Amino acid sequence: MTVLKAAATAPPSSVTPGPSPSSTPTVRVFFRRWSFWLGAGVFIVIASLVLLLIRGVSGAEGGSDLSTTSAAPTGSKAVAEVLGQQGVTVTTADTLDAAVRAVADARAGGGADGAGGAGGAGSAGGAGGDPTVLIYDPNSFLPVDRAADLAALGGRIVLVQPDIFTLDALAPGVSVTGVVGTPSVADADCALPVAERAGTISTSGSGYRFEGGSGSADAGSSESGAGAECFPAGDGGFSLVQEQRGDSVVTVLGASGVLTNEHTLEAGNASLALGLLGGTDHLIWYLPSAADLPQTGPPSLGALTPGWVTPLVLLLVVVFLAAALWRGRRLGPVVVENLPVIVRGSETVMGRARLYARSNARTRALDALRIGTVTRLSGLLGLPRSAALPEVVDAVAAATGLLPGDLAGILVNRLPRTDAELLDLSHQLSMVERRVQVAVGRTPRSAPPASPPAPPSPPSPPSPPTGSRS
Amino acid sequence: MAVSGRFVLLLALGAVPVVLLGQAYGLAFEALGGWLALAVLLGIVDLLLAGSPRRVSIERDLPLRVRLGQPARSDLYLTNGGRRALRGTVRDAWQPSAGAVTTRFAVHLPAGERRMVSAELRPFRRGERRVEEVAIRSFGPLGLWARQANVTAPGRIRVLPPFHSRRHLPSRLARLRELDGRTSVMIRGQGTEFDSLREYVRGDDVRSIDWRATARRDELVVRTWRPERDRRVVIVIDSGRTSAARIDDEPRLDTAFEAALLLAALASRAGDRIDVIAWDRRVRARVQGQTGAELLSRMVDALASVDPELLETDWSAVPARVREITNQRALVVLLTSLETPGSSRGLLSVLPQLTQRHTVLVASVTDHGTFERVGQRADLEQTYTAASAERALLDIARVSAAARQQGAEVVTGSPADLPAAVADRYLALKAAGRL
Repeated sequence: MTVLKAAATAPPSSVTPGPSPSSTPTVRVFFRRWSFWLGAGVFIVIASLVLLLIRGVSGAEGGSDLSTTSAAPTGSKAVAEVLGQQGVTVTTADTLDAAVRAVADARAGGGADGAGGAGGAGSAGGAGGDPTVLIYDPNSFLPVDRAADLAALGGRIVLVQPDIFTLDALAPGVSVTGVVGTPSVADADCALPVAERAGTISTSGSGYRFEGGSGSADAGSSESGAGAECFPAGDGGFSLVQEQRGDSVVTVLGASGVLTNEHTLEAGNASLALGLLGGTDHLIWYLPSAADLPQTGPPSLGALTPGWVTPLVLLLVVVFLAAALWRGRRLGPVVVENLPVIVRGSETVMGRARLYARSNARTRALDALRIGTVTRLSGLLGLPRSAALPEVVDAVAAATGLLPGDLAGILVNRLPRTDAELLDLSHQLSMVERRVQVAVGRTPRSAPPASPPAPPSPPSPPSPPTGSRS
Repeated sequence: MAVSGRFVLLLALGAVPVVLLGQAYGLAFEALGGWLALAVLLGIVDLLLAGSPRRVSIERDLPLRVRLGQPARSDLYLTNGGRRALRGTVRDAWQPSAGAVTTRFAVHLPAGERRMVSAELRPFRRGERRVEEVAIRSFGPLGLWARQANVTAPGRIRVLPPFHSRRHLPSRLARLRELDGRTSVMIRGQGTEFDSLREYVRGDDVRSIDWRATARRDELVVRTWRPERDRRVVIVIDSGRTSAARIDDEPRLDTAFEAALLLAALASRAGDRIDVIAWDRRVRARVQGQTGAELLSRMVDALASVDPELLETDWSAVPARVREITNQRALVVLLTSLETPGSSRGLLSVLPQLTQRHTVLVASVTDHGTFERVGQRADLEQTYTAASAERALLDIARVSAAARQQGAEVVTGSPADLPAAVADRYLALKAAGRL
């Protein structure tokens, strides 16, 4: 205390003490303390980046059906890889524009030796420098109304499982016969070299039929609108149909399984795939996507908004974060303090009252009231504490003029069967007490049910400081 | 680190260049990036120029004690030991019950200088209130970013029980003086002891004339008496679970403190020796062998940090505790609660041991709400409550009667009345010479 007083009288001492110790870690201490978790976090981020990179390169994931980068069972990475090893340049395209550009590039690059490839589908009438274009369009994204662009794809087209609209646009002589029911192995059964070389394939997908211009299908080639049907797949359909129209050769491959990683090794599938697609030096692998769909309707919201809206929104996000930091940063620690329990002294009384009420303990409740009242009455009337009930009843009757029988009923005998009776009896008890108070000459409680009495006046059993014996 | 509202505003102002440049030249993203870079750069510069909060040394000037209900001043001396001036906010992290009027101060501390900030404390709870740390947030010259650190600067202030009941003290002291020097006839009792001889004046009781002394002198001499002195008073405060109950928004324990303080003040003036223990299962506070003014200050100091423990009080050890304090006959005051036979069983079972050797006074707080509830019987719920209150009163009466039967004095009263009632009973016992 004296020390503290001394400090109080001369607080600004000339000797400046060293800085008070700080409980907030410095930056260095912070990094040292959290180095493990920081390191772990950095490691996790780097590891996941590396993993992502590896998976992205391997292309094991994703890609749609017949994608050249998909190693999934329905992908076509195997076929594309083998074609690449055989010297075929495989170019993927996902829009018609890209496909047309790739075709033009291929023509410009190596169109000279395109024709007369090893066993090309249409080696005789093959288009001069045209690359092979594979089109697989299960979602009907192909813009069949852009005839000029489709024509620019050249004359060497392989349609994999096309729908009727695609057929109308590119191979009007071929029609769909239906879905091939049970997969089976089909013989070539035609004169196409690629088909003969393959021998057998496993059928799947859809079946097609060549109807040509003359109505009936006939094998062999004719001058225009000639077609070939190979690999019968039941129900009059074939898995491979080739239509030759002038310079262009459109091959319809119904069995898409021929190209998939899963089935390409079955029967002569691989041979057919390589024969169909490896006929030229360049192969355009065109899988139409949603980007091919024509844009219609009013311009989108993005096109209408000015260019500064997105940066502004970003700025507002940053402002929001800064404001959160501004308001949320606590100045100093949260101070803890043990607080006392708060127990109201009247809780036991209220609790017991609710127990009485819940269990309808009318008799028990009335008993308490009666004992209290009788005790007070005998005190008022000057009876000894040991006075028996009949004596009290007689004394009360004498003092108030009430009938002893009624009094005995109120004070002892009547049982409350209903809540109303309980209320009635308790009121009568108050009434008796009041009348005795009047009779004895004490000021009664003005209105017992309503106003509380002045503390010292009610005669109560645990009399305050008075009345101690020995 | 912390940022200011000014920094948020600065960021928000970036909307202007983003929109303008975006509209005019289509450089919205560039404007955004530039503005953010500018703001962060300014913030970093600001941070580097801010004074270090870690170089501040802190001293406190606090009173050691304050009575509950009275204000105290807490002074904080901040010395900037760093090379740069410190501008910012200081928070003195007092516990809430210390009732600091303000805990945050704006300070400007030039390098190497010292400043004082002071706050008023208005504690609203008894006990020891603490402060452990001071948080300092130091802004740079631009007021954008701030350095922040918590600096350890412990302090404590002991909030003493209020002793409201001291207003009863003058009247009780007057009554005590009335006891003094009375002749035996006025307070005929065996408890008074011989004080002195003095000359007879008209009106003195002739029976108090000391004839032997008169014979030695030439004048009539009477004996005077005074109340007995140097008696022992042992106050046992029950700090067990029943003392936590609040009556009239005051815990029983606090009422017991008031009663103990008033009794101690009165009894020490009367020349008695007072010992106090607060007990539940162990001694929570003890004041022994003090007299006069020191006694009261020791008592408030010792009792300040006693809180109700949620334990059943171990009454069986109380006689031994009293025996430790004194072997003489003493007045043992038990400040506890007499409520139900069940909860008072421990007390009742040791009362005979105490009453055998000592005069025992049991003081208990009663709830006036209970008396009021007995009379309220307007509807069914109130009737049940009245019955329950009646039952509670009967229980208290039974326990009180049992305590009286075992030879103890019983005093009950509301929180406002109990201290005075205990003091009155003490005076009555003293007048009757029963100490």
